[in-house]
Amino acid sequence: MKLVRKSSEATAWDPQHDGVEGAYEWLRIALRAAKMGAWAWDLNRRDKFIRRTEQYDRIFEIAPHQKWTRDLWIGRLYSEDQEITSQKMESVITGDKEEYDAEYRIVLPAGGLRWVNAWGRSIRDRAGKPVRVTGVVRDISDEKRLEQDREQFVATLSHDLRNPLSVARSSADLIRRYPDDVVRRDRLFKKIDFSIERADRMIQDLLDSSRLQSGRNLQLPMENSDLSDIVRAVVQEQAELYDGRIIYKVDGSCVGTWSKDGIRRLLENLISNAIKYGKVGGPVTVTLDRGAGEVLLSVHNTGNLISDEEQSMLFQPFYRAKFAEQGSARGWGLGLPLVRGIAEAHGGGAAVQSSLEAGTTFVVRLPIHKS
Amino acid sequence: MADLLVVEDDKDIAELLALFLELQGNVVRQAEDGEVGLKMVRESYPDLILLDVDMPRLSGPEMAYRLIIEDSGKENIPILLVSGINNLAEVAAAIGTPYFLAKPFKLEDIQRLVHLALKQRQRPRPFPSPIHEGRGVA
Repeated sequence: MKLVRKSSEATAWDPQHDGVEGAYEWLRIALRAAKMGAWAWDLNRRDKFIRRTEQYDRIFEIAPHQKWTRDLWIGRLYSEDQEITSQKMESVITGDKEEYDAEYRIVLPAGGLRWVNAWGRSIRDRAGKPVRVTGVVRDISDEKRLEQDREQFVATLSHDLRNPLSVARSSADLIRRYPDDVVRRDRLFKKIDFSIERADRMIQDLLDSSRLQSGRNLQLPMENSDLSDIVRAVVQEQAELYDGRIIYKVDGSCVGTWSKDGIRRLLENLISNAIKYGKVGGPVTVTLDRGAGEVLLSVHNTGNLISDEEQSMLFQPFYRAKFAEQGSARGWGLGLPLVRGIAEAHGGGAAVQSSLEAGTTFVVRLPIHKS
Repeated sequence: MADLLVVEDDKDIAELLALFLELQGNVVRQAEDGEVGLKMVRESYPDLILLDVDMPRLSGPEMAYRLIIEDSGKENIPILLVSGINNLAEVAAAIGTPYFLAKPFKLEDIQRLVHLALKQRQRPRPFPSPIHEGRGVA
């Protein structure tokens, strides 16, 4: 076979020096880096045998020496994707199409689905008849999940923004209908103001999250103040909202440099999570512990165990814990990344502890700086 | 004058809806989620339920299905879905109610639909299998 250098990438490989072995090594490195499996179908073989690489086996979860054929492959396709995927392959085998490109789900031996992307092309004989189809396959489940999470996020975001808009519109409507009722009018104006603030806060959360996702830190205006005052004010407001379910434990003052607005958003997020996902009607305890050079601000609720695996994921954007997905309460999946971002903007951090006996506690560590 | 039940977890929206509907001469009760809503229906049957979709504890569609299962006349109460979800028409179709309104709504539309629902009194007729909105499997 004569090797022809076609592109600039091809020139990096010198057949004189590297030989076929070298080319094969390059291919292996490329496949491994891309986490791709490779496969080849010899169309002349009557048993429809498929040759494949180790990574292919890992994706399909097949034993290394297990015989693998086209029929077995079709048997693994998820029912909804079976027809379209095998049709696409058929048109390459018959020679109607040169290339094969498909995204489909496979059923794993132990149950469960995996999304894969497969790409391949046919090799023809002198008469133009396809004799072999070779290609690669890649696990795209994580990408698909992210895509779904983003879709869910946009749906939740638009839903949540419509609530303050409804309040503002209805209030304006009522003022227009009953212009002479002065007492009510003032209350309705306040509702309009409050709704606009609420919508603006959502937008602020969104912008901050996008900042955090791109790896930048939050820019929070800091000022000298007493942290226990800030925490007390937020807890009091939240206690009114949630009918006394919130217990507050704090001793003494804690003067330092804090972002008042940041701490407020951090606490509001943690408290509303504890209310939403904790035991129904159960207490939520906010504690402020002053240590040497730092404070620990924690929010505790009973109920809903968060597994070790989930604990590490919770602070990732768009991630929602299993119980959060199953419950009726919907969230953006941005609250906890924001909590961590605010803690980090103070030079601290955020963590979670959860057990069946002790319940769930989110702990925010904040170093005490004084300017 | 009609007896109306507003089931809505956003306190401000519930309050404004109740205020407006009371000013129109109705008697209005408010429930903050499907669970409380069910309890109130059991206490006395309203002429119409204005129902949000996404709520903690028990969602709007779940509450609607419970009413249908519990039977004894509760299944005949017409439902007006009021929600900001993107696929509201689908959810309304799944519950089988012809009355639904997207947020942010106009009060004149609320007035029109409440009037229509009270006049026609079409009860919900759900699909055989309930669609649970917003949580695709795949």
